[in-house]
Amino acid sequence: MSFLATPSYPQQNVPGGEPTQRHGFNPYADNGGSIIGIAGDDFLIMAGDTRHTAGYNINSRTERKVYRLGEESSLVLATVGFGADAKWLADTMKRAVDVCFPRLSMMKDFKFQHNLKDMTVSAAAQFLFTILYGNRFFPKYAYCILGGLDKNGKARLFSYDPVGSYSKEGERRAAAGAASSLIVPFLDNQVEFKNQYVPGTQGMTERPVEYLPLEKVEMLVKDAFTSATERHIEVGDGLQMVIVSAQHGVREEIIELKRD
Amino acid sequence: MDALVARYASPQDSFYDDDEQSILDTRPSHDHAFALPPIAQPSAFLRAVTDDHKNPECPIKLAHGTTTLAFRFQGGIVVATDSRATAGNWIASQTVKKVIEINDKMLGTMAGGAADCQFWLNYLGMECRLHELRHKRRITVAAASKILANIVYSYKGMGLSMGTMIAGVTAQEGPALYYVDSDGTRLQGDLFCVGSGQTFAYGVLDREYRYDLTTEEALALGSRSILAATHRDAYSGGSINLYHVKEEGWVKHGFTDTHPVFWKTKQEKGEFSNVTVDF
Repeated sequence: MSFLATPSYPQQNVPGGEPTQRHGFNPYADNGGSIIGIAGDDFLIMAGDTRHTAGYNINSRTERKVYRLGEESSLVLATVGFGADAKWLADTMKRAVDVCFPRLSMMKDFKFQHNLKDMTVSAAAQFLFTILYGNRFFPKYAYCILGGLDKNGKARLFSYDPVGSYSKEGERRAAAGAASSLIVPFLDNQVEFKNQYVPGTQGMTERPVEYLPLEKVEMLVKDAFTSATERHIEVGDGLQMVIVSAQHGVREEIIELKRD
Repeated sequence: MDALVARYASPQDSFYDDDEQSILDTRPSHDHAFALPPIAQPSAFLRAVTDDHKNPECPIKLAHGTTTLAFRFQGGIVVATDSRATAGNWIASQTVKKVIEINDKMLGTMAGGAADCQFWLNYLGMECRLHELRHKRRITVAAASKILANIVYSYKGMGLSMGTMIAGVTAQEGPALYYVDSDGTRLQGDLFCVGSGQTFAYGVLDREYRYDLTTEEALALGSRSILAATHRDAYSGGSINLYHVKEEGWVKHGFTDTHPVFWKTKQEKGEFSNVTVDF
Protein backbone atom coordinates (compact mmCIF):
# COMPACT_ATOMS: atom_id res chain seq x y z
CA MET A 1 0.00 0.00 0.00
CA SER A 2 1.48 3.29 -1.09
CA PHE A 3 0.98 6.50 0.85
CA LEU A 4 1.57 8.50 -2.29
CA ALA A 5 -1.44 7.02 -4.02
CA THR A 6 -4.04 8.95 -2.06
CA PRO A 7 -7.28 9.38 -4.02
CA SER A 8 -7.83 12.93 -5.20
CA TYR A 9 -11.60 12.66 -4.66
CA PRO A 10 -13.32 12.89 -1.27
CA GLN A 11 -13.58 9.68 0.72
CA GLN A 12 -17.07 8.30 1.17
CA ASN A 13 -18.38 7.44 4.61
CA VAL A 14 -15.68 9.14 6.70
CA PRO A 15 -15.64 7.72 10.25
CA GLY A 16 -17.76 9.89 12.53
CA GLY A 17 -19.46 11.61 9.63
CA GLU A 18 -22.94 10.98 8.30
CA PRO A 19 -23.00 7.82 6.19
CA THR A 20 -23.90 8.93 2.70
CA GLN A 21 -25.96 6.97 0.21
CA ARG A 22 -24.66 8.83 -2.84
CA HIS A 23 -21.81 7.44 -4.84
CA GLY A 24 -19.66 10.35 -5.89
CA PHE A 25 -17.06 7.96 -7.19
CA ASN A 26 -17.82 7.33 -10.84
CA PRO A 27 -14.78 6.10 -12.71
CA TYR A 28 -16.69 5.12 -15.86
CA ALA A 29 -17.85 6.75 -19.05
CA ASP A 30 -19.63 5.21 -22.00
CA ASN A 31 -17.80 6.02 -25.21
CA GLY A 32 -20.31 4.33 -27.51
CA GLY A 33 -19.60 2.43 -30.68
CA SER A 34 -20.07 -1.17 -31.58
CA ILE A 35 -17.97 -4.21 -32.46
CA ILE A 36 -18.63 -7.43 -34.34
CA GLY A 37 -16.78 -10.70 -34.80
CA ILE A 38 -17.76 -13.39 -37.29
CA ALA A 39 -15.87 -16.65 -37.68
CA GLY A 40 -15.82 -18.68 -40.87
CA ASP A 41 -14.12 -22.04 -41.20
CA ASP A 42 -10.53 -20.82 -41.69
CA PHE A 43 -10.96 -17.06 -41.43
CA LEU A 44 -12.57 -14.49 -39.21
CA ILE A 45 -13.50 -10.86 -39.43
CA MET A 46 -13.35 -8.55 -36.45
CA ALA A 47 -14.84 -5.13 -37.01
CA GLY A 48 -15.71 -1.98 -35.17
CA ASP A 49 -16.79 1.54 -36.01
CA THR A 50 -14.33 4.38 -35.40
CA ARG A 51 -16.59 6.90 -33.65
CA HIS A 52 -15.76 7.85 -30.04
CA THR A 53 -18.53 9.65 -28.18
CA ALA A 54 -19.34 11.13 -24.78
CA GLY A 55 -23.07 11.64 -24.41
CA TYR A 56 -24.18 13.58 -27.51
CA ASN A 57 -20.65 14.81 -28.24
CA ILE A 58 -18.42 13.20 -30.82
CA ASN A 59 -14.86 13.15 -29.50
CA SER A 60 -13.22 11.46 -32.46
CA ARG A 61 -14.13 9.99 -35.83
CA THR A 62 -10.91 7.95 -36.20
CA GLU A 63 -10.53 6.03 -32.95
CA ARG A 64 -10.02 2.32 -33.60
CA LYS A 65 -11.55 -0.41 -31.47
CA VAL A 66 -9.98 -3.50 -32.99
CA TYR A 67 -6.44 -4.38 -31.93
CA ARG A 68 -4.00 -6.92 -33.30
CA LEU A 69 -2.24 -8.49 -30.34
CA GLY A 70 1.07 -9.14 -32.09
CA GLU A 71 2.92 -8.54 -35.32
CA GLU A 72 3.22 -12.26 -36.06
CA SER A 73 0.16 -13.43 -34.17
CA SER A 74 -3.30 -14.08 -35.62
CA LEU A 75 -4.90 -12.89 -32.36
CA VAL A 76 -7.25 -9.94 -32.59
CA LEU A 77 -9.06 -8.25 -29.72
CA ALA A 78 -12.00 -5.90 -30.13
CA THR A 79 -13.19 -3.94 -27.11
CA VAL A 80 -16.01 -1.49 -26.56
CA GLY A 81 -17.51 0.35 -23.60
CA PHE A 82 -15.39 2.79 -21.61
CA GLY A 83 -12.55 3.72 -23.96
CA ALA A 84 -9.85 3.95 -21.30
CA ASP A 85 -10.66 0.54 -19.79
CA ALA A 86 -10.93 -0.95 -23.27
CA LYS A 87 -7.52 0.37 -24.25
CA TRP A 88 -5.98 -0.81 -20.99
CA LEU A 89 -7.27 -4.32 -21.70
CA ALA A 90 -5.90 -4.25 -25.24
CA ASP A 91 -2.49 -3.05 -23.99
CA THR A 92 -2.40 -5.68 -21.26
CA MET A 93 -3.25 -8.43 -23.73
CA LYS A 94 -0.70 -7.14 -26.25
CA ARG A 95 2.02 -7.13 -23.61
CA ALA A 96 1.16 -10.67 -22.61
CA VAL A 97 1.02 -12.09 -26.12
CA ASP A 98 3.82 -10.25 -27.87
CA VAL A 99 7.50 -9.93 -27.07
CA CYS A 100 8.12 -6.47 -25.70
CA PHE A 101 10.28 -5.25 -22.81
CA PRO A 102 10.32 -8.60 -21.04
CA ARG A 103 12.20 -7.22 -18.05
CA LEU A 104 10.12 -4.13 -17.60
CA SER A 105 6.85 -5.91 -18.08
CA MET A 106 4.87 -6.29 -14.89
CA MET A 107 3.17 -9.36 -16.21
CA LYS A 108 5.68 -12.12 -16.89
CA ASP A 109 6.02 -12.17 -20.63
CA PHE A 110 4.37 -15.27 -22.07
CA LYS A 111 6.64 -15.71 -25.07
CA PHE A 112 9.84 -15.56 -23.04
CA GLN A 113 8.47 -18.01 -20.52
CA HIS A 114 7.31 -20.47 -23.14
CA ASN A 115 10.27 -21.00 -25.42
CA LEU A 116 9.23 -18.23 -27.84
CA LYS A 117 6.06 -20.05 -28.76
CA ASP A 118 3.04 -17.98 -29.69
CA MET A 119 0.14 -18.03 -27.30
CA THR A 120 -2.71 -20.19 -28.64
CA VAL A 121 -6.17 -18.65 -29.05
CA SER A 122 -7.66 -20.79 -26.29
CA ALA A 123 -4.82 -19.80 -23.93
CA ALA A 124 -5.30 -16.13 -24.77
CA ALA A 125 -9.03 -16.58 -24.17
CA GLN A 126 -8.46 -18.04 -20.70
CA PHE A 127 -5.86 -15.33 -20.00
CA LEU A 128 -8.35 -12.58 -20.85
CA PHE A 129 -10.86 -14.24 -18.50
CA THR A 130 -8.27 -14.11 -15.70
CA ILE A 131 -7.49 -10.45 -16.40
CA LEU A 132 -11.16 -9.46 -16.41
CA TYR A 133 -12.01 -11.52 -13.32
CA GLY A 134 -8.99 -10.08 -11.53
CA ASN A 135 -10.95 -6.84 -11.67
CA ARG A 136 -14.13 -8.48 -10.32
CA PHE A 137 -14.47 -5.96 -7.47
CA PHE A 138 -13.55 -2.94 -9.62
CA PRO A 139 -14.73 -4.05 -13.05
CA LYS A 140 -13.31 -2.80 -16.29
CA TYR A 141 -16.32 -1.41 -18.12
CA ALA A 142 -15.50 -3.05 -21.43
CA TYR A 143 -17.04 -5.77 -23.50
CA CYS A 144 -14.47 -7.87 -25.33
CA ILE A 145 -14.48 -10.10 -28.39
CA LEU A 146 -11.34 -12.13 -28.94
CA GLY A 147 -10.58 -14.00 -32.14
CA GLY A 148 -7.78 -15.87 -33.81
CA LEU A 149 -6.74 -19.00 -35.65
CA ASP A 150 -5.94 -22.18 -33.76
CA LYS A 151 -2.97 -24.40 -34.59
CA ASN A 152 -4.99 -26.19 -37.29
CA GLY A 153 -5.81 -22.90 -38.97
CA LYS A 154 -9.45 -22.97 -37.82
CA ALA A 155 -11.09 -19.74 -36.71
CA ARG A 156 -12.02 -19.36 -33.03
CA LEU A 157 -14.07 -16.55 -31.56
CA PHE A 158 -14.84 -15.76 -27.91
CA SER A 159 -16.98 -13.03 -26.38
CA TYR A 160 -16.88 -11.79 -22.79
CA ASP A 161 -18.96 -9.92 -20.27
CA PRO A 162 -17.20 -7.14 -18.26
CA VAL A 163 -16.06 -9.53 -15.49
CA GLY A 164 -14.85 -12.25 -17.81
CA SER A 165 -17.57 -14.83 -18.38
CA TYR A 166 -17.05 -16.57 -21.73
CA SER A 167 -17.78 -19.83 -23.50
CA LYS A 168 -14.78 -22.11 -23.95
CA GLU A 169 -16.36 -23.70 -27.03
CA GLY A 170 -16.29 -20.33 -28.71
CA GLU A 171 -18.92 -19.01 -31.08
CA ARG A 172 -19.58 -18.23 -34.71
CA ARG A 173 -20.60 -14.65 -34.30
CA ALA A 174 -20.56 -12.03 -31.59
CA ALA A 175 -21.51 -8.40 -31.30
CA ALA A 176 -21.19 -5.93 -28.45
CA GLY A 177 -21.55 -2.27 -27.68
CA ALA A 178 -24.13 0.44 -28.17
CA ALA A 179 -25.82 -1.05 -31.23
CA SER A 180 -25.52 -4.70 -30.23
CA SER A 181 -29.29 -4.95 -29.80
CA LEU A 182 -29.66 -3.90 -33.43
CA ILE A 183 -26.88 -6.10 -34.78
CA VAL A 184 -27.29 -9.36 -32.85
CA PRO A 185 -30.76 -10.21 -34.25
CA PHE A 186 -29.46 -9.56 -37.77
CA LEU A 187 -26.48 -11.85 -37.19
CA ASP A 188 -28.70 -14.53 -35.62
CA ASN A 189 -30.69 -14.61 -38.82
CA GLN A 190 -27.87 -14.25 -41.34
CA VAL A 191 -25.03 -16.21 -39.73
CA GLU A 192 -26.82 -18.85 -37.66
CA PHE A 193 -29.87 -18.97 -40.00
CA LYS A 194 -32.21 -18.58 -37.00
CA ASN A 195 -35.90 -18.69 -38.01
CA GLN A 196 -34.98 -19.70 -41.54
CA TYR A 197 -36.59 -22.86 -42.86
CA VAL A 198 -36.03 -25.01 -45.92
CA PRO A 199 -38.52 -23.86 -48.62
CA GLY A 200 -41.40 -26.25 -49.19
CA THR A 201 -41.26 -27.88 -45.73
CA GLN A 202 -44.05 -25.72 -44.22
CA GLY A 203 -41.61 -24.34 -41.67
CA MET A 204 -40.83 -27.80 -40.31
CA THR A 205 -37.18 -28.21 -41.35
CA GLU A 206 -34.68 -25.63 -40.15
CA ARG A 207 -32.15 -24.39 -42.68
CA PRO A 208 -28.90 -26.19 -41.85
CA VAL A 209 -26.09 -23.98 -40.57
CA GLU A 210 -23.04 -23.85 -42.80
CA TYR A 211 -19.80 -21.88 -42.90
CA LEU A 212 -20.06 -18.72 -44.96
CA PRO A 213 -17.47 -17.65 -47.55
CA LEU A 214 -15.27 -14.63 -46.81
CA GLU A 215 -16.97 -12.34 -49.36
CA LYS A 216 -20.38 -13.05 -47.84
CA VAL A 217 -19.14 -12.36 -44.30
CA GLU A 218 -17.53 -9.11 -45.43
CA MET A 219 -20.87 -8.04 -46.90
CA LEU A 220 -22.72 -8.95 -43.71
CA VAL A 221 -20.33 -6.89 -41.60
CA LYS A 222 -20.72 -3.87 -43.88
CA ASP A 223 -24.51 -4.24 -43.90
CA ALA A 224 -24.61 -4.55 -40.12
CA PHE A 225 -22.65 -1.33 -39.65
CA THR A 226 -24.34 0.76 -42.33
CA SER A 227 -27.69 -0.21 -40.80
CA ALA A 228 -26.52 0.45 -37.23
CA THR A 229 -25.19 3.84 -38.40
CA GLU A 230 -28.64 4.70 -39.74
CA ARG A 231 -30.38 3.96 -36.45
CA HIS A 232 -27.89 4.59 -33.68
CA ILE A 233 -26.39 7.97 -32.86
CA GLU A 234 -23.22 6.53 -31.31
CA VAL A 235 -22.26 4.52 -34.39
CA GLY A 236 -20.76 5.92 -37.58
CA ASP A 237 -17.82 7.71 -39.24
CA GLY A 238 -15.67 4.74 -40.20
CA LEU A 239 -15.71 0.97 -40.22
CA GLN A 240 -12.47 -0.77 -39.26
CA MET A 241 -12.32 -4.40 -40.37
CA VAL A 242 -9.51 -6.78 -39.51
CA ILE A 243 -9.63 -9.89 -41.66
CA VAL A 244 -7.65 -12.87 -40.39
CA SER A 245 -7.30 -15.67 -42.90
CA ALA A 246 -5.34 -18.92 -42.71
CA GLN A 247 -4.43 -18.54 -46.38
CA HIS A 248 -3.89 -14.81 -46.79
CA GLY A 249 -2.69 -13.68 -43.37
CA VAL A 250 -4.03 -10.59 -41.66
CA ARG A 251 -5.22 -7.47 -43.43
CA GLU A 252 -6.94 -4.34 -42.23
CA GLU A 253 -9.48 -2.32 -44.14
CA ILE A 254 -11.13 0.95 -43.25
CA ILE A 255 -14.35 1.95 -44.98
CA GLU A 256 -16.26 5.20 -44.74
CA LEU A 257 -19.53 5.27 -42.84
CA LYS A 258 -21.95 8.20 -42.66
CA ARG A 259 -20.59 11.05 -40.57
CA ASP A 260 -23.83 12.65 -39.43
CA MET B 1 19.81 -18.52 25.79
CA ASP B 2 16.86 -17.21 23.75
CA ALA B 3 19.26 -16.35 20.98
CA LEU B 4 20.59 -19.88 20.98
CA VAL B 5 17.10 -21.37 20.88
CA ALA B 6 16.09 -19.05 18.06
CA ARG B 7 19.17 -20.06 16.14
CA TYR B 8 18.65 -23.78 16.33
CA ALA B 9 14.88 -24.07 16.52
CA SER B 10 13.03 -24.48 13.26
CA PRO B 11 10.75 -21.47 12.83
CA GLN B 12 7.93 -23.64 11.52
CA ASP B 13 8.59 -26.57 13.81
CA SER B 14 8.53 -28.74 10.74
CA PHE B 15 10.45 -31.63 9.27
CA TYR B 16 10.14 -30.15 5.81
CA ASP B 17 11.64 -26.99 4.39
CA ASP B 18 9.40 -24.14 3.25
CA ASP B 19 8.93 -25.32 -0.32
CA GLU B 20 8.07 -28.86 0.71
CA GLN B 21 5.81 -27.59 3.45
CA SER B 22 3.90 -25.39 1.01
CA ILE B 23 3.31 -28.41 -1.22
CA LEU B 24 2.03 -30.42 1.74
CA ASP B 25 -0.12 -27.60 3.01
CA THR B 26 -3.63 -28.78 2.32
CA ARG B 27 -5.45 -25.54 2.99
CA PRO B 28 -6.67 -23.83 -0.19
CA SER B 29 -4.45 -20.82 -0.77
CA HIS B 30 -6.71 -18.47 -2.69
CA ASP B 31 -4.47 -15.45 -2.45
CA HIS B 32 -5.80 -13.84 -5.60
CA ALA B 33 -4.76 -10.23 -5.94
CA PHE B 34 -8.07 -8.67 -6.86
CA ALA B 35 -8.03 -5.03 -7.91
CA LEU B 36 -10.12 -2.85 -5.59
CA PRO B 37 -11.50 0.64 -6.14
CA PRO B 38 -9.67 3.29 -4.05
CA ILE B 39 -12.62 4.09 -1.81
CA ALA B 40 -13.77 3.26 1.71
CA GLN B 41 -16.49 0.79 0.74
CA PRO B 42 -15.71 -1.14 -2.44
CA SER B 43 -18.80 -3.32 -2.06
CA ALA B 44 -21.15 -0.32 -2.06
CA PHE B 45 -19.46 0.94 -5.20
CA LEU B 46 -19.73 -2.46 -6.83
CA ARG B 47 -23.41 -2.69 -6.00
CA ALA B 48 -24.03 0.77 -7.43
CA VAL B 49 -22.44 -0.08 -10.77
CA THR B 50 -23.43 -3.72 -11.26
CA ASP B 51 -26.60 -4.57 -9.34
CA ASP B 52 -29.40 -4.08 -11.85
CA HIS B 53 -31.95 -5.49 -9.40
CA LYS B 54 -31.58 -2.55 -7.01
CA ASN B 55 -30.56 -0.03 -9.68
CA PRO B 56 -31.98 -0.69 -13.16
CA GLU B 57 -29.88 2.13 -14.62
CA CYS B 58 -26.56 0.61 -13.52
CA PRO B 59 -23.90 0.89 -16.23
CA ILE B 60 -22.52 -2.64 -16.06
CA LYS B 61 -25.21 -5.26 -16.51
CA LEU B 62 -24.08 -8.76 -15.64
CA ALA B 63 -25.78 -11.87 -16.95
CA HIS B 64 -28.47 -13.20 -14.57
CA GLY B 65 -31.65 -15.27 -14.56
CA THR B 66 -31.73 -19.03 -14.71
CA THR B 67 -33.36 -22.29 -13.95
CA THR B 68 -31.10 -25.08 -12.74
CA LEU B 69 -31.96 -28.30 -10.97
CA ALA B 70 -30.33 -31.44 -9.67
CA PHE B 71 -31.70 -34.43 -7.80
CA ARG B 72 -30.44 -37.66 -6.33
CA PHE B 73 -32.00 -41.00 -7.27
CA GLN B 74 -31.01 -44.66 -7.14
CA GLY B 75 -29.07 -44.46 -10.43
CA GLY B 76 -27.01 -41.42 -9.52
CA ILE B 77 -27.80 -37.72 -9.96
CA VAL B 78 -29.62 -35.90 -12.74
CA VAL B 79 -28.48 -32.35 -13.42
CA ALA B 80 -30.50 -30.15 -15.78
CA THR B 81 -30.42 -26.47 -16.69
CA ASP B 82 -31.82 -24.02 -19.19
CA SER B 83 -29.38 -21.98 -21.31
CA ARG B 84 -30.62 -18.37 -21.33
CA ALA B 85 -28.57 -15.41 -20.11
CA THR B 86 -30.31 -12.09 -19.59
CA ALA B 87 -29.02 -8.60 -18.81
CA GLY B 88 -32.06 -6.58 -17.82
CA ASN B 89 -34.66 -7.34 -20.49
CA TRP B 90 -32.02 -8.12 -23.08
CA ILE B 91 -31.43 -11.78 -23.89
CA ALA B 92 -27.65 -11.82 -23.97
CA SER B 93 -27.41 -15.47 -25.03
CA GLN B 94 -29.58 -18.52 -25.63
CA THR B 95 -26.68 -20.98 -25.64
CA VAL B 96 -25.03 -20.65 -22.24
CA LYS B 97 -23.54 -23.81 -20.77
CA LYS B 98 -24.77 -23.64 -17.19
CA VAL B 99 -23.44 -27.02 -16.23
CA ILE B 100 -19.78 -26.62 -15.37
CA GLU B 101 -17.63 -29.71 -15.62
CA ILE B 102 -15.42 -29.43 -12.52
CA ASN B 103 -13.62 -32.63 -13.51
CA ASP B 104 -14.74 -35.84 -15.25
CA LYS B 105 -16.56 -37.07 -12.13
CA MET B 106 -18.10 -33.93 -10.68
CA LEU B 107 -20.46 -31.26 -11.97
CA GLY B 108 -21.39 -27.80 -10.80
CA THR B 109 -24.33 -25.69 -11.90
CA MET B 110 -24.35 -22.01 -12.66
CA ALA B 111 -26.89 -19.51 -11.33
CA GLY B 112 -26.24 -15.86 -10.53
CA GLY B 113 -23.13 -14.21 -11.89
CA ALA B 114 -21.81 -16.23 -14.83
CA ALA B 115 -18.20 -15.17 -14.32
CA ASP B 116 -18.34 -15.85 -10.56
CA CYS B 117 -19.53 -19.40 -11.13
CA GLN B 118 -17.08 -20.04 -13.94
CA PHE B 119 -14.10 -18.68 -12.06
CA TRP B 120 -14.72 -20.30 -8.69
CA LEU B 121 -15.85 -23.68 -10.01
CA ASN B 122 -12.79 -23.67 -12.24
CA TYR B 123 -10.72 -22.88 -9.17
CA LEU B 124 -12.50 -25.65 -7.28
CA GLY B 125 -11.50 -28.05 -10.06
CA MET B 126 -7.89 -27.13 -9.41
CA GLU B 127 -8.27 -27.67 -5.66
CA CYS B 128 -9.89 -31.06 -6.28
CA ARG B 129 -6.99 -32.12 -8.48
CA LEU B 130 -4.49 -30.99 -5.85
CA HIS B 131 -6.44 -33.01 -3.27
CA GLU B 132 -6.11 -36.08 -5.48
CA LEU B 133 -2.36 -35.57 -5.85
CA ARG B 134 -1.81 -34.99 -2.14
CA HIS B 135 -3.99 -37.80 -0.82
CA LYS B 136 -3.93 -40.29 -3.70
CA ARG B 137 -7.72 -40.55 -3.73
CA ARG B 138 -10.67 -38.66 -5.10
CA ILE B 139 -12.09 -35.84 -3.05
CA THR B 140 -15.53 -36.38 -1.57
CA VAL B 141 -18.36 -34.13 -2.74
CA ALA B 142 -18.78 -33.03 0.88
CA ALA B 143 -15.18 -31.81 1.02
CA ALA B 144 -15.27 -30.19 -2.42
CA SER B 145 -18.47 -28.30 -1.68
CA LYS B 146 -17.03 -27.16 1.64
CA ILE B 147 -13.91 -25.78 -0.06
CA LEU B 148 -16.18 -23.72 -2.28
CA ALA B 149 -18.44 -22.65 0.59
CA ASN B 150 -15.44 -21.50 2.62
CA ILE B 151 -14.07 -19.47 -0.27
CA VAL B 152 -17.32 -17.66 -1.02
CA TYR B 153 -17.86 -17.10 2.71
CA SER B 154 -14.48 -15.39 2.88
CA TYR B 155 -15.72 -12.97 0.20
CA LYS B 156 -19.09 -12.41 1.91
CA GLY B 157 -20.50 -8.94 1.41
CA MET B 158 -18.09 -8.22 -1.44
CA GLY B 159 -20.77 -8.71 -4.07
CA LEU B 160 -20.19 -12.23 -5.35
CA SER B 161 -23.40 -13.71 -6.70
CA MET B 162 -23.66 -17.44 -7.16
CA GLY B 163 -26.11 -20.22 -6.41
CA THR B 164 -24.56 -23.51 -7.32
CA MET B 165 -25.14 -27.21 -6.87
CA ILE B 166 -22.19 -29.59 -6.65
CA ALA B 167 -23.05 -33.11 -7.79
CA GLY B 168 -20.89 -36.21 -7.73
CA VAL B 169 -20.96 -39.89 -6.94
CA THR B 170 -18.19 -41.29 -4.77
CA ALA B 171 -17.54 -44.69 -3.21
CA GLN B 172 -17.79 -43.26 0.33
CA GLU B 173 -20.91 -41.16 -0.16
CA GLY B 174 -22.84 -42.70 -3.04
CA PRO B 175 -24.71 -40.06 -5.00
CA ALA B 176 -24.04 -36.77 -3.17
CA LEU B 177 -25.58 -33.40 -3.84
CA TYR B 178 -24.78 -30.08 -2.17
CA TYR B 179 -26.18 -26.59 -2.61
CA VAL B 180 -23.72 -23.76 -2.08
CA ASP B 181 -24.49 -20.07 -2.50
CA SER B 182 -22.61 -16.80 -2.20
CA ASP B 183 -24.21 -16.00 1.19
CA GLY B 184 -22.18 -18.94 2.51
CA THR B 185 -25.10 -21.38 2.73
CA ARG B 186 -24.10 -25.01 2.21
CA LEU B 187 -26.83 -27.64 2.30
CA GLN B 188 -26.86 -31.34 1.61
CA GLY B 189 -30.04 -32.66 0.04
CA ASP B 190 -31.90 -34.94 -2.36
CA LEU B 191 -33.30 -32.30 -4.64
CA PHE B 192 -32.61 -28.66 -5.39
CA CYS B 193 -33.83 -26.11 -7.91
CA VAL B 194 -32.00 -22.77 -8.14
CA GLY B 195 -32.68 -19.57 -10.03
CA SER B 196 -35.51 -17.30 -11.08
CA GLY B 197 -37.42 -20.31 -12.47
CA GLN B 198 -36.84 -22.51 -9.41
CA THR B 199 -40.44 -22.43 -8.17
CA PHE B 200 -41.80 -23.66 -11.50
CA ALA B 201 -39.23 -26.44 -11.64
CA TYR B 202 -39.94 -27.45 -8.02
CA GLY B 203 -43.64 -27.70 -8.85
CA VAL B 204 -43.09 -30.34 -11.51
CA LEU B 205 -40.17 -32.07 -9.81
CA ASP B 206 -41.84 -32.49 -6.39
CA ARG B 207 -44.95 -33.96 -8.03
CA GLU B 208 -43.15 -36.84 -9.75
CA TYR B 209 -39.99 -37.32 -7.69
CA ARG B 210 -39.15 -40.67 -6.11
CA TYR B 211 -35.75 -41.99 -5.10
CA ASP B 212 -36.32 -45.25 -7.00
CA LEU B 213 -36.90 -43.59 -10.36
CA THR B 214 -35.35 -45.45 -13.30
CA THR B 215 -32.61 -43.61 -15.20
CA GLU B 216 -34.94 -42.95 -18.16
CA GLU B 217 -37.68 -41.62 -15.86
CA ALA B 218 -35.23 -39.45 -13.98
CA LEU B 219 -33.78 -37.89 -17.14
CA ALA B 220 -37.29 -37.28 -18.51
CA LEU B 221 -38.34 -35.66 -15.23
CA GLY B 222 -35.30 -33.37 -15.17
CA SER B 223 -35.98 -32.30 -18.72
CA ARG B 224 -39.72 -31.80 -18.10
CA SER B 225 -39.10 -29.67 -15.01
CA ILE B 226 -36.79 -27.34 -16.93
CA LEU B 227 -39.36 -27.18 -19.73
CA ALA B 228 -42.02 -26.06 -17.25
CA ALA B 229 -39.72 -23.36 -15.93
CA THR B 230 -38.77 -22.06 -19.38
CA HIS B 231 -42.48 -21.91 -20.19
CA ARG B 232 -43.48 -19.76 -17.20
CA ASP B 233 -40.29 -17.84 -16.37
CA ALA B 234 -39.36 -15.22 -18.96
CA TYR B 235 -35.79 -15.14 -17.65
CA SER B 236 -35.34 -18.83 -18.47
CA GLY B 237 -35.26 -20.42 -21.91
CA GLY B 238 -33.11 -21.49 -24.81
CA SER B 239 -32.13 -25.14 -24.59
CA ILE B 240 -32.33 -27.93 -22.02
CA ASN B 241 -28.89 -29.05 -20.91
CA LEU B 242 -29.11 -32.52 -19.38
CA TYR B 243 -26.49 -34.56 -17.49
CA HIS B 244 -26.45 -37.84 -15.59
CA VAL B 245 -23.78 -38.28 -12.90
CA LYS B 246 -22.70 -41.84 -12.11
CA GLU B 247 -19.83 -43.27 -10.08
CA GLU B 248 -17.81 -43.83 -13.28
CA GLY B 249 -18.25 -40.18 -14.12
CA TRP B 250 -20.86 -37.94 -15.71
CA VAL B 251 -22.62 -38.52 -19.04
CA LYS B 252 -24.06 -35.72 -21.17
CA HIS B 253 -27.58 -36.26 -22.46
CA GLY B 254 -27.87 -33.49 -24.98
CA PHE B 255 -28.38 -29.77 -25.34
CA THR B 256 -31.91 -29.64 -26.76
CA ASP B 257 -33.79 -26.59 -28.02
CA THR B 258 -36.93 -26.10 -25.87
CA HIS B 259 -39.15 -25.02 -28.77
CA PRO B 260 -39.59 -28.41 -30.51
CA VAL B 261 -39.58 -30.18 -27.13
CA PHE B 262 -42.49 -28.03 -25.98
CA TRP B 263 -44.67 -28.79 -29.02
CA LYS B 264 -43.72 -32.48 -28.91
CA THR B 265 -44.72 -32.63 -25.22
CA LYS B 266 -47.99 -30.87 -25.96
CA GLN B 267 -48.92 -33.00 -28.94
CA GLU B 268 -47.80 -36.43 -27.75
CA LYS B 269 -48.66 -36.22 -24.06
CA GLY B 270 -51.55 -33.76 -24.22
CA GLU B 271 -49.87 -31.54 -21.60
CA PHE B 272 -49.88 -27.72 -21.71
CA SER B 273 -53.54 -27.93 -22.77
CA ASN B 274 -53.96 -24.27 -21.74
CA VAL B 275 -51.82 -23.33 -24.73
CA THR B 276 -53.80 -22.77 -27.91
CA VAL B 277 -52.67 -21.58 -31.30
CA ASP B 278 -55.72 -19.39 -32.01
CA PHE B 279 -55.53 -15.90 -30.60
